[in-house]
Amino acid sequence: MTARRALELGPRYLLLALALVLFLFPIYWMAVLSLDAPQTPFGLPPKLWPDWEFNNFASAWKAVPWGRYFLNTVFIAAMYTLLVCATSVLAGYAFASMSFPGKALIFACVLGMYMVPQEVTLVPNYVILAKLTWLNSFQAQIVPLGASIFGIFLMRQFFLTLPKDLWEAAQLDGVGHLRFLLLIGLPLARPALVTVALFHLVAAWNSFLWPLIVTSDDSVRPIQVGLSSFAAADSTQPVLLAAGAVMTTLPILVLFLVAQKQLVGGIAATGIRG
Amino acid sequence: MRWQEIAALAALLVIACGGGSSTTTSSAEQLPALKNPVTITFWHAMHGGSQKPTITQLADQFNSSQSLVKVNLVDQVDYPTLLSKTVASIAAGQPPTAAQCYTGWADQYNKKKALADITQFINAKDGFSQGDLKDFFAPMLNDGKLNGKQYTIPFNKSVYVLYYNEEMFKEAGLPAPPKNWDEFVTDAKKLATYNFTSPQTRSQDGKHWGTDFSQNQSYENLWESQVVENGGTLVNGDKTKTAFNSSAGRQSIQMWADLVKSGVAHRVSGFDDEADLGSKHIGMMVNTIAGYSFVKKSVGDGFMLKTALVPAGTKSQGVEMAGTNVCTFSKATPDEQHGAFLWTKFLTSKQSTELWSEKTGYMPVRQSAAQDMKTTFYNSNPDGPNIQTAVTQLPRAFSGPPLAVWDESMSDILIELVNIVDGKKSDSQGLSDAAKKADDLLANG
Amino acid sequence: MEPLSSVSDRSLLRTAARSGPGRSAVAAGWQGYAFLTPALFILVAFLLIPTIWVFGISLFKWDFIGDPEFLGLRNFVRLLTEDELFRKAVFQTLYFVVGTVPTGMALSLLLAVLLNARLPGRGLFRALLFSPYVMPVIATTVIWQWIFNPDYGVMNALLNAFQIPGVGWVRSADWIMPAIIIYSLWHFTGYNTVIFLAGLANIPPELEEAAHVDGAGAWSTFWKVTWPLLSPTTYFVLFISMIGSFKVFVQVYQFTLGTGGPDRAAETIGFYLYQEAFQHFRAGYASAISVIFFLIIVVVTGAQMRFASRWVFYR
Repeated sequence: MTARRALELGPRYLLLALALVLFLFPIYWMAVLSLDAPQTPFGLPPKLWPDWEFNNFASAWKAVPWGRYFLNTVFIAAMYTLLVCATSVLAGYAFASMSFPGKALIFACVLGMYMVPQEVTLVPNYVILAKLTWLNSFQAQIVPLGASIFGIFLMRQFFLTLPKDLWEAAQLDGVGHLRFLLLIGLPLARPALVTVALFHLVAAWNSFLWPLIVTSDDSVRPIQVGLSSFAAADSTQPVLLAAGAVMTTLPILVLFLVAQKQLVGGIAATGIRG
Repeated sequence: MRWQEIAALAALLVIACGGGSSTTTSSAEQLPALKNPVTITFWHAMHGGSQKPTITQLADQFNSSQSLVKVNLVDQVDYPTLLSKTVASIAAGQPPTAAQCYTGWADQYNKKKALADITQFINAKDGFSQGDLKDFFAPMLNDGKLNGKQYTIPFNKSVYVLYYNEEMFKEAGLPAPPKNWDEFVTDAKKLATYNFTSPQTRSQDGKHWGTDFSQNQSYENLWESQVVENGGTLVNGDKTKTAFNSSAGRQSIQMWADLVKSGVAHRVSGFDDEADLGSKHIGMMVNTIAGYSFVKKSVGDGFMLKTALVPAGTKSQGVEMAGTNVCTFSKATPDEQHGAFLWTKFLTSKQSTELWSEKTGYMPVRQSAAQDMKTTFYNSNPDGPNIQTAVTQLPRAFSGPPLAVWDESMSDILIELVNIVDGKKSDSQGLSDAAKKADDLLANG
Repeated sequence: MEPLSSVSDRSLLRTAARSGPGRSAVAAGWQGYAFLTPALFILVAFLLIPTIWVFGISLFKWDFIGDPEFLGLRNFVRLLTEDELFRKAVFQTLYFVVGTVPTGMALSLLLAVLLNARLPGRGLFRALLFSPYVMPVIATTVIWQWIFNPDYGVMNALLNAFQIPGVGWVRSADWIMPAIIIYSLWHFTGYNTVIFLAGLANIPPELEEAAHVDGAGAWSTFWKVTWPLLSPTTYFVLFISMIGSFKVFVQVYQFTLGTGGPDRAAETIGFYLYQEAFQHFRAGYASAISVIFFLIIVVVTGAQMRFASRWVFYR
């Protein structure tokens, strides 16, 4: 690196490093707290090096049924992501590559529904689930949110880029829409699909308001609702709470670090294409 | 008249006469004992400290002691969640068989026609005997009545007590805990300004206060008690309008506002008060005996924790009773309701209530249990004397307004009390705003 | 589940304006409907019908259980003329929007510009700045509550280090909202940064170089060339930040332990709606709040779209 380039990049690095410290400190401190000795979590200046008290995790684990919450969340997140991917691919493909009467109108309506925030529909949806006797169930946390307008739109945008000769060639071989989609469309759409899947997986893991309302016992409660009640009831023991926060964060953070290229890259790509 | 109605009437008489032996409970119409096996769900909020292990232990004992009723516990973590989930479950037509509830909640459920009439089970062949009913502490059993009728059975009852760090008191030259609120203020000032030096009395960072005021529903309940102690009332005689914006009401909250303003009381939120006491940041606090196992955990073996009666007001000494009863829902089949009653009966039996009290600090609900604990617990267990304070307090305990809307009013009142304590509003302004909201709720629901 | 403040609103809206049959669409007849059915069924049952229905429920007094009592527009009259708490919630929601949106955009744009160079380790910086966004709000607010602890928190310690006296943060009616705003900036700035970064990458470097050759400094190059060319991205970030901020709920719930904070100073529209519906079970009143909330979103979005057509520069 030349001296000039170093001079050019130096201030940039300095500012970025400062930003990084501010952004990462809370995450680091969460980890430190979770490993602190039970009686001495706070005080000034803040402790920046843990006591390596791994027992905190054992104690926190025993306090509430985390195992149950983890299993519930993994199941809900997986089913939800699968459902969203399936509905998005099918509808996205239909909007992009098939023509049928009323398509433009239906598409405009779907996009119009995008304006409705979920909060607006809380009360009626709760009543609908009660009528279906779906309250306090897994399906209550999966089905009502199983179609994503964003996912549909993203898949449509992708399928629009598929060259028409691909379909024509396939048709000569006597391949119908469904087989074409499964055999040719999907493999090509993998990057877009992975972005959709990751995005909804993260959303499912972090989801809180809807499960807070529709679940009423541990058999179906997901991890964020579990953590929130742990925080409400056990807040006198900060180190255990920090350990709980680490436990619920770690899986999604690891997933993110492994798949960050696809996720961040996907956001960058989709955020900008138009 | 159908037999249930006769039974209900009979029961009413029994309870109205304080369980006088003249009434006939073993009439021909008496409900036979439960015959068919049932499974019931019980929603509770006994989540923290030693509460969950103990209630689980009791449920296991119950399930293995007989084969007729199997109880499944569902942990709803805290009272606000329990209330909102219960109302939601009633709305959805899927309530549990039974649940913990405050009397105000029971009124709310009853207005939605969701409560089961348990009188028939109380009088059934496997119900409560006259002796049983007389054995319950009367103020507790009365707390479970709506319009004079027994809808709920007391289970985990608590009262407020004064928790204090005996070492801090000694070092600061205070020989005994405060007897009334004037002494409380003087002692708090002394504790706040004293320079503590020993490891049992000095906090890690050297900071300390006399006591705490927390944005936590407990402190609203405490203020309600103080209003009564200072000669005021919360609602008018026919419970249609609030009456707390009185000199007693203002005086009770102004005391806290002055303590916070002068830096004597530490203004915190949530359960920070328990942590503050444990970490020697304060010398005393008023909280319910139900928090004993939490406070104990926070104190560890840091110092000698003691409890005393709540300070007296200008007119009397007494506290509002806290803690819940057990209610049963009408959606369940009659057999399930009967099963829920048997679980409630087990939960409130002498053995169960003793175990529950010793492990959690809640008061025993039966006099025979309290009597028994004098020899087995209060005088022999290191925590015994502390826990006994609550029972000593009991004869002067009273119930809060048993109103469906009171729960919502209490959170509105707390907001205004905190405004007064924080100096955002004057005492009269804050209480009049709180009264306006509560009156509106009383009138419109 | 937060439907991921969807990434492509800008392109989405533009496409909506000129939606026509796809370029490579093939006649499909009934099969087209079959492909749409799963998604449409869910959208109609759990989004369209509830949205229409909420208008209906808003005309009644109802506790979810008994028979609804018809009130006409009384809920709305009460909400708009008598309910001080609702007024407070609207005001505080606007406070939150104004506190998070402009600052959040400025911060993320600055970070994106800093990152928009051939820096070694750029990908790592980008990923680490993004990481708060994937972390659960519940878990991270727990930590931030301690950061904002008035007695032992890091935030006040930091202020004291600069000779600034600490404040009450989560315990104070005046400072709880700033605390939630700072937390929210921390949580979503990385997300906006990534989108800005992508927008910057789309600007042909030749344009900026040409301006440079013409003697323009870095500052004026940014405002004369980069800023106008970036306007579609800026608009998109503005749009998703606004919608996201209007809906704020989880951090309010968790920061105030479900109470709304001292003097309810953190009560927002979303939180008030939740309380009325699922703590006090006033379904009709909560539905009236939903309707007003919906109208606010529609008006804000509509105004943005109109306004955007004037200043957004599309190539």
